Amino acid sequence: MSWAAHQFEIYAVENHLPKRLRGKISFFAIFLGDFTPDFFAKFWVYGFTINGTHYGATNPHRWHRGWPGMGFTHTVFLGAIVAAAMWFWKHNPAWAIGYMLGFAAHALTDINDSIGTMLLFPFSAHNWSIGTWAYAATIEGGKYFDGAAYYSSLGFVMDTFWLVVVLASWRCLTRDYWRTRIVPPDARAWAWFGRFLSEPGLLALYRATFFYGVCRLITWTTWAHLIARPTILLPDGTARTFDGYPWDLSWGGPWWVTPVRLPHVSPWIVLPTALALLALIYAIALRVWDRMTAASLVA
Amino acid sequence: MIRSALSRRAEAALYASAAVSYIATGLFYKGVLNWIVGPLWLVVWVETGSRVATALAGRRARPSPSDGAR
Repeated sequence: MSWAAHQFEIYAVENHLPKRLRGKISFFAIFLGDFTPDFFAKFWVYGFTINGTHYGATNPHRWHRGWPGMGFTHTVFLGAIVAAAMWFWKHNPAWAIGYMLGFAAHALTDINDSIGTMLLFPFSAHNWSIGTWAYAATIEGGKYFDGAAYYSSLGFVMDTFWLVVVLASWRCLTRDYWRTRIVPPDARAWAWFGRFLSEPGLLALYRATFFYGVCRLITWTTWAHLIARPTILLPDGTARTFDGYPWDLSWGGPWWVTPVRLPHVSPWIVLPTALALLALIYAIALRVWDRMTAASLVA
Repeated sequence: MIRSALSRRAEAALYASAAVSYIATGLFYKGVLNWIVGPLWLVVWVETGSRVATALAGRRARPSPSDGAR
């Protein structure tokens, strides 16, 4: 799974919209679309413990990304279904398209871990993964081990990459950008929040997801490498205590995570297929945009 | 919308202090590192800070009763 990358990518998606859609797509919808997959699937992945009894998935990776399981929450198919439902309910193209783009960003980013996502569900229940880093959510390790593994692997590079993408287009975080591009498509929602917040507060609300992403990237990385003192089972069977979790920026790392897999397709076809799917989603979004805006005016 | 304004320097100081306090808290209490507390932390911090700054600036700009008596 990806961590802060999901917080950063919503700004990147909004900032890199096709020219025709700029300033017309709802930022809240992109956020909601990107947020939905883990909102439905992740709470049970780690589970919770009450009075020594653990409640949660018996097989976290299958629950999170597999079928049977909640893997369908990480599919472009579900994003399209919900976006279509939004359209038929409210006839708001800014929300329908924004939700779809945010949802697709999440499902496509998650092909990077060793479990991946079911890209072609419901036509195929096979997972699509390029295995950039190891999926590390386990019952024993919980969120701490997962965070430590992610921020010791190429997952850290992934988060940093998305952070750089947003910082490279830093104007998307400015007050002027927020006023001219973010507020107009969601004018009513921002006006509603404006009943409780001043302008600095509203701007903070827009930047809040970015802030959370930066802070969790710094906090988990610092904790994993400067504070934690983990005891790790080495490949030769002996246990050793480390000052901080060991870094491993090799493909598929870190080495100290036991790999888990689900039925999957060849990694070689994953990236081209994902890019083709992304191009298809944008092409469809552009194609339906004009029809949707015309229909929303009639409605 | 509620009236409140911040200078760039005050805004930067608010964001930086929000980040430092959140990271410091998160390092030792990971319960705060979630998608509800994280974004809310910044919004509450900035909103409260900007209101306090605006009130202080208003008090400084307004002449005191003793000024009028003179």
